Formats: sequence, structure tokens, C-alpha cells
Amino acid sequence: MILEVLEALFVVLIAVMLAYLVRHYIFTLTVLKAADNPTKTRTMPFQTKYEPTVTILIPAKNEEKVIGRLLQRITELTYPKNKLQVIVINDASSDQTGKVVCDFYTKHSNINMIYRDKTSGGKGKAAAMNDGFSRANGEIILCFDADYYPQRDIVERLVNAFTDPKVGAVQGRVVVLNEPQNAVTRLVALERVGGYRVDQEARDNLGLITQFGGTVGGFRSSILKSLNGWDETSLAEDTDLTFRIYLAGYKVKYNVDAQCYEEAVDNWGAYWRQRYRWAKGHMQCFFKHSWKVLNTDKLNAKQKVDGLLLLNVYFMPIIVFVSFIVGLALITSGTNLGGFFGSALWFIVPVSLYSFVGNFAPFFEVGIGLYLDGRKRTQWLIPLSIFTFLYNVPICTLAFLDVVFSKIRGKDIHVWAKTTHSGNGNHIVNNLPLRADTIWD
Amino acid sequence: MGLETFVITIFGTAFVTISLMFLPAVIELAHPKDAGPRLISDSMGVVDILPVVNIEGSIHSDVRLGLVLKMLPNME
Amino acid sequence: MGVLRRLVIIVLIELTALCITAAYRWVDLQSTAVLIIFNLLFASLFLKLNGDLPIKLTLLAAGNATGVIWNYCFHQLMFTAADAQIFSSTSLNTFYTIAYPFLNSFWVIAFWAVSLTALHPRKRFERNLAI
Repeated sequence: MILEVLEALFVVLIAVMLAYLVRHYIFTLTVLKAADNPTKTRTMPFQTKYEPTVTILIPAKNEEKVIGRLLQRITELTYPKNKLQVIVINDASSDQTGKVVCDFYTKHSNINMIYRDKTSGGKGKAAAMNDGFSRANGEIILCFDADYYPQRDIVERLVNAFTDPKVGAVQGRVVVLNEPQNAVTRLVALERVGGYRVDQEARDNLGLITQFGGTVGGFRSSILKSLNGWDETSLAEDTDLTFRIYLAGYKVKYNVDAQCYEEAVDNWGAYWRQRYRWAKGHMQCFFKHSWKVLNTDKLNAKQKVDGLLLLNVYFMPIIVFVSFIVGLALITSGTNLGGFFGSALWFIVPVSLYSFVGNFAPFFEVGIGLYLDGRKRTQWLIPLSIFTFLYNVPICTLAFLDVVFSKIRGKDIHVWAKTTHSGNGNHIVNNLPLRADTIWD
Repeated sequence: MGLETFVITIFGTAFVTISLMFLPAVIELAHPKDAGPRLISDSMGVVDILPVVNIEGSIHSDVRLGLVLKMLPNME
Repeated sequence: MGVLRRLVIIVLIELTALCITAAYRWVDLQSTAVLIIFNLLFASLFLKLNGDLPIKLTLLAAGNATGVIWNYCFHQLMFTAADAQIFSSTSLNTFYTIAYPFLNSFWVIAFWAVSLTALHPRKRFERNLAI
């Protein structure tokens, strides 16, 4: 009886893993096909005449090392200054963030700062964004984290998506700036390639659920207002907003050509804290939105399937680990996993270990993404993905237990663990063939 | 074949195989030739000027590329 | 050169087929499954990319040869251990069933990833949205 149950469980787990492998395989083929037919698949004709008023929101808590770089870049943006409002939300910073922002605020009339003190502030990014949003007067709201460094014409590239009235939000591509720093940053860069060069683009091309990533993107102000802004109880406020946008009948548009540098985490401790927050937040979204996604009439069948797979992503390390344990139990108990199909099924377990958690991009998706980016030697790092995956197993397991116990206790309070930025990308920015008027330390 | 020989052979072979498979990754980490970051275009004008084949293929030419860019007329 | 190129391509394809047949005939079904998965991965996500066909087929054949040799050695090791009665055949069978896909995944993924380096870099163009 127990063996039958374990067998059934094993088959279900393998089926879920296989669904992801097939999904990402389809994504990879889609992007390869699109790369061969670029003019056919570009869905966004650029219209230079569309210039709505834009508000850029920048939440900042203790970002003295990076905020100046971003604000300097914002002064270099090509978008008309009289249509661009910038609001920096200084969220109870205890360092020189406020001083750095003030230097720009005094010189540039379109840059503003909101200061949240220790009483009202420090309650997480979502709360800070809502505060900024309440003071925004742009038709389009764009969001950038303080450690980002965008293209000079990124506003035009992002805003262009909103010429389609069905578009409620837009997302651009994130590229890791401090990639050369160490092994952690290089592996995170691989994950970004899989996620942004292949995954997001494929989902956009196939009309699936494109995800708003919390930064390098934006919304129509009117839609954001109707959705009451960001959910301050969510640790993954970006994923939460993504699904609320789709459930409201709009869509998120992805533009792979709207690109921005980010400073990735550079040590395993910071990686743990960041992924723990993402995993917990994502799991919160799973419990909040799964039923709605299944029952809504605003999504078609393939969007529902993709939506559920997207919500389930941070459970995958747990699923892979459990399938390994169950498979081990079955094999050691003498169940015949031999034969052609049995061997193929069991092979799915180790193959799934070579996935980048975040969107569960398998190794082949990352490899093709790197190929499309023209990278060569970086391909050699792909086998190391097994280590990041194994590192994510305890992260996601603990996050899951945390969410479950929170629900049982009825307490939905989650502590926001902020990612520290060290400014290690500044010297790289100075040496890039981009117009950098100011040298950053 | 004795037990010890078997165990040593198994673990030895596995160790060598796994090491060989991760060797390229270790080489690239130790002596990076393609460490990035990936260049993103600054603006449309800049990319139109550059020959676009394989910009990332020679990442060491960043500085040279920067000098070339400074010499070119401003197309904006 | 056209004829020679075609000959090389045919030889390489035959070598690949030979490896799969050899795995089925002289190793076991599990190894054949691994090789077929490897070939499917290569066929769909490598052969169509930008590069010389003979080089791509050489890498494909080399991968198949590596797979056959590795699986044959591992299989023989288990066989020898069973013969020498170091462990029971059931234990060895269990160990083999558990371990072989993990050990195979190491070379399949590493080989595919390193092979991508042999491709010509994709002609990159920024899809600078036409004005």
C-alpha cells in the first residue's frame, strides 16, 4: 500500500518537473525562432510621438554608495525633462543617502525626495512605493531600484508599450553590472540571462504571463490607482502586482531592448537573504492568487497553466528534493525503475538539478540565452548551476515552512530583509563605453 | 577484485570524472576571458555607428571601443 | 571538397548511430536512454545554431563516444564487482540504478555547455525598433 502511494507520488512529482522542462524547452525554441526572424516578431513599432508624463519612483534605504550614480544617469536621460518627474523615497536611511539626493534635488527641479522617518518608514519597499505613488503626477509610473543604471533612452523604450491600451504594465531587461566580481555574481548573471533573455521574451511572444520584476518597468498610473497600489503585506510585491494586473484584464509587456544594469548580490549570505525573501513572497502569491487564476475569465487556458507554473516556481527545489527521496525509497525497496521509460523518468531528477532558481530555467535555456548574447566562455560555468540549485533547496524549504506556520498562527507579518549594495559596479560603469560624465568611487 | 579496490576504483573514477566535468568552469572562474558585464547599448545612435557583429566576443576591447566612440561624430 | 565534406558528415552521423547501437547491444537500456536524450538535446539545441556542420557533428559523435565509453566502464565495474561477490547483485543493481543518471548528467550537461563554445557567435544586432 505504501509502495503504491510512493509510486503515485513519484509519478506526480516527475510529471510536474517534466512540465517545467517542456515549458522551458518551448520557450527556448520560441526565442531561437524569434531571433532568426526579428522583424517578424518585433511587436512594438517605435512611435516617437508618444510622450506622456512619466514619474520615476526610486525607493532608497541606505543606498549612499549607489544612489548618486543612478540620479546622475537620470539627469542624462533623453526623455523631455518637463515631462519627467523623479521621486526618491528616502526610507528611514541612516547613512548619507539623504545628503546625496539633496545635492541633486537642489540642482534639478524635476528630482524630488520624500523622507520617511523611523516611525513611518522602514516597513518595506511596497510601503515606500505607495508613499511615492501618492505624490506622483505622471500618467506612467516607472520604477528603478537605487542600484540600477539604465540606458539613456530607457524611458522612451519602456513607455512605448503603453500605446497599446491593453497594456497595464511594462518590464525591461536586467543585466548584471558587477558580473566580473566573483563566482556569486557570475552565477547570478547566468540566472538573469536565462530569465530575461529567454524566459520573459518567450512568455511575451507566446502571449503568456509576463512578469513585472519590481524594477526597470512601470505601470499606467490609472490602473495602479484602481488596484490600490502595492500590497504592503507582500514580500514579492512585484509578482503580486503582476497577477493583479492580469486578473484585472490587462497585460504586462516585455521589451528585451529596454535594458538596465543592476548590482547583483556578491556573497552567499546576501544571496540567501534575498532569495529567502523572494521565495517567501512568491509562495505568499501562490496562496493568494492560484485559485483566482484558475477561476478567472480574464485569462485563457494557456495563460492559466503558465500562471500556475509561474506561481509554483519556488516550490520546485522542494519538489525536486522530495522526488529524489521518494525515488530513492522506491529503488531501494526493489521497485523496478528499470526499462526505457523508467530510466528516462529517473533521469529527469538529476537534469532538474541543473536549473537556475528564480524562474526554474534549465541549463539549456541559459546556454541558449548566452549564445544569443554572443557569450562564449561563460557557457563553461553552466555546470556550476547544480550548486546554486542545491543551495536553494534549504532556502525554499525554510521559506515554505515560514509561510505555512505564519498562516497557521494567523500572523501575516513578514520582515523585509533589505539587500545591501556596496557600489562595486561603479568602477565598471566608469570604464564602459557609455557616456559617463561623473566618475564614481 | 577486493572490496577496497572496488571502493577506491568507484570513488576514484567518480572523482576524476566529476573533476573533469567541472574543470572548464574552474578554469573560467580562475582565468576569466568572458567575465562581462554584457554591454548594453547606450542609445540607438551609438549602436547604429558600431559594427555590431560580436561586440561581446572581444570584451577586452572595451577601452579601445570607448576611445573609438569618442572620436566619432555625435549622431544624436 | 564538397564530396569530402559530405563523406565526413556521413561518417560522423554513422559513428553517432554506431554509438547508440553499441550502447544498446553491449551496455544496457539505461545507457541507451541517456544517449538518446543527449542526442535529442544536441539535435534540437545545438545542430541548428550558427557553426560549421562537420564541427558540430564531430562534437556530437565525440559526445556519444564519451557516453558509450563511460557507461561501458561503469557497467563493467558493476559486473566485475558482482562476479567477485563484493556486494550482492541486488545491492549493486540498486546502487547502479540510483547513481548512473546523476553521473551521466555531469558529462551530458558539461559537454553540451562546452560545445557551445565551438559555435560561431551569433551576429548581434540591437533590434533598435525601427523609427
